[in-house]
Amino acid sequence: MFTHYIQYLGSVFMGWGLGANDSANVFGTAVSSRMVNYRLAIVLTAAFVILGAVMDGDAGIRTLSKDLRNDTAFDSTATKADPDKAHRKALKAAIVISFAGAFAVVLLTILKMPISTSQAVVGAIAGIAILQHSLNIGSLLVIVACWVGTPIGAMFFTFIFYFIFRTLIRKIKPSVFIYDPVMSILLIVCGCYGAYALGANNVANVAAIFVGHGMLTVEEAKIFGGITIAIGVLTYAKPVMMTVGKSIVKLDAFSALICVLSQAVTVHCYAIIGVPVSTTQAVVGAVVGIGIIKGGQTINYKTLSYIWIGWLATPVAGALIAVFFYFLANLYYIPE
Amino acid sequence: MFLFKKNKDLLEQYTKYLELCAETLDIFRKAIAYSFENGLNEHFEVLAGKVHAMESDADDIRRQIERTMYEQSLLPESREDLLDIIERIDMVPNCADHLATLMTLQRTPINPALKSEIMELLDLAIESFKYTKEAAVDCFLKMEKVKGLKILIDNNESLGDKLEHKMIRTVFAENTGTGEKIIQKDMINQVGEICNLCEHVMDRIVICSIKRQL
Repeated sequence: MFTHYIQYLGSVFMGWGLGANDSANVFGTAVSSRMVNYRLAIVLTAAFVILGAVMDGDAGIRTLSKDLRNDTAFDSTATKADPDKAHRKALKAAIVISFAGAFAVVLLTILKMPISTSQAVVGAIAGIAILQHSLNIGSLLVIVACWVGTPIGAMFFTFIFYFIFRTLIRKIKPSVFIYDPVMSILLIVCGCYGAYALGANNVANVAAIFVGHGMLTVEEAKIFGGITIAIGVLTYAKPVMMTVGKSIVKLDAFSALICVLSQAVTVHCYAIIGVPVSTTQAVVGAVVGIGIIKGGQTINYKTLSYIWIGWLATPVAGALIAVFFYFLANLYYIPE
Repeated sequence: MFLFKKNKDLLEQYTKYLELCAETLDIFRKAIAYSFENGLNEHFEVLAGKVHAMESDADDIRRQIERTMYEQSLLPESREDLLDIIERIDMVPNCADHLATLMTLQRTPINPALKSEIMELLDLAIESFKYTKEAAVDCFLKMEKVKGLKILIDNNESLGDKLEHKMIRTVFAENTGTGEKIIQKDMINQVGEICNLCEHVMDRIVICSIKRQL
């Protein structure tokens, strides 16, 4: 019974790390600049993450559980000559992947580095798939292309939303006593949407691996993933929230709103397509978009490059840790 | 809706505060005009006391506004800007109260030869405050309007400076003691300071509106 729960521990850690990290992309700018109360932000994020995971998490789970591998090497339900051995092998791979991804995420979270959990998990899956000669290169390339497309997409949405909202505000010219509460409400609404998109897109990172190995149904995986992410949001979101919110660029309420909305729309689009992407990449793309509109002088390039290094390091770290754990898991003592 | 209600209350307080500051200046003007006609008698002291009471009421409202603002009814950046503007505006009634109190304590009226210039300077100050009030209520997102009001205040301030210099020259050309001349000069500067303070408030409002330029 106890060992049954132990096998999900890696994903619990992964969900926790994801929640702690990525909730910063939803309410980070608003909380760090004191536009939205921290407690309200984390409670809303947790609730909408679960909602997003349950309502819209299917497509991403399908991609990570099936499409990234060529064969059924890990699939315990597949017909095998020795089904019991196949099940043990699949279980071992799932546990290794979940622990490797979680380890990479937790490690980099403690280093307060805004990283991509999607990249950590995909890196771990790809690492094991390479060992098993079952990597679907085509699917991997699609996912990597989507990763590249994430900041660009968010930047594109930033330009669109910025000019639409700016035109509206210039036309209405609201009083500061109207503008401010409207902004606060919009920041909360867009934050909730961002949390929904986060849950919908990233639940696959936490739970898809167990679906692929027949350990959880899709419905169970969505609930399990959503709850673990929510726990991360509720318990350890503040440090990264402050790093993301304060270090990249000092955002005013209007820019913060545009960033959150752009990243939410981008991440939700990928959730519908079924490609788990990084909300961090999306929010940084949006912030860079704001920087470009405002002339570039608002961007903290040092922090930005620090984040880029994290992005490159994450999939590689995920893959290497997975390979190392898999190697450890396959060590046997053979008495002479 | 709760946020809108909170901000509506804040706007009411803020408007009331600005009105009270403007009324303080009006009473101050009345007191100065009265002193030219009747000297610093008991009625002048009543008017000076009224200026002080209104200034004190304005202070109470200002503190109330500051408390309301820090109960998170505005975004932090607006809160800081508004707080700064209110504190600058607060110096205007303070300046009027200071001169009225000084005249009461020193029992020294403003030189009657300066009557027309002083009244003109006071009118300029009151007009400048009217523009400041207009800009301060609701101009954070209305750059063009703020710029227009800023030009009007700059003109008033420049006219006020000329009047001040003219009056100081007059005072020092008179055959009175140095002490009397210095007291007169200080009182002239104090009246002229109201225009300067309005200009400072306006400078801050301009910066706030530039910051919010989209």
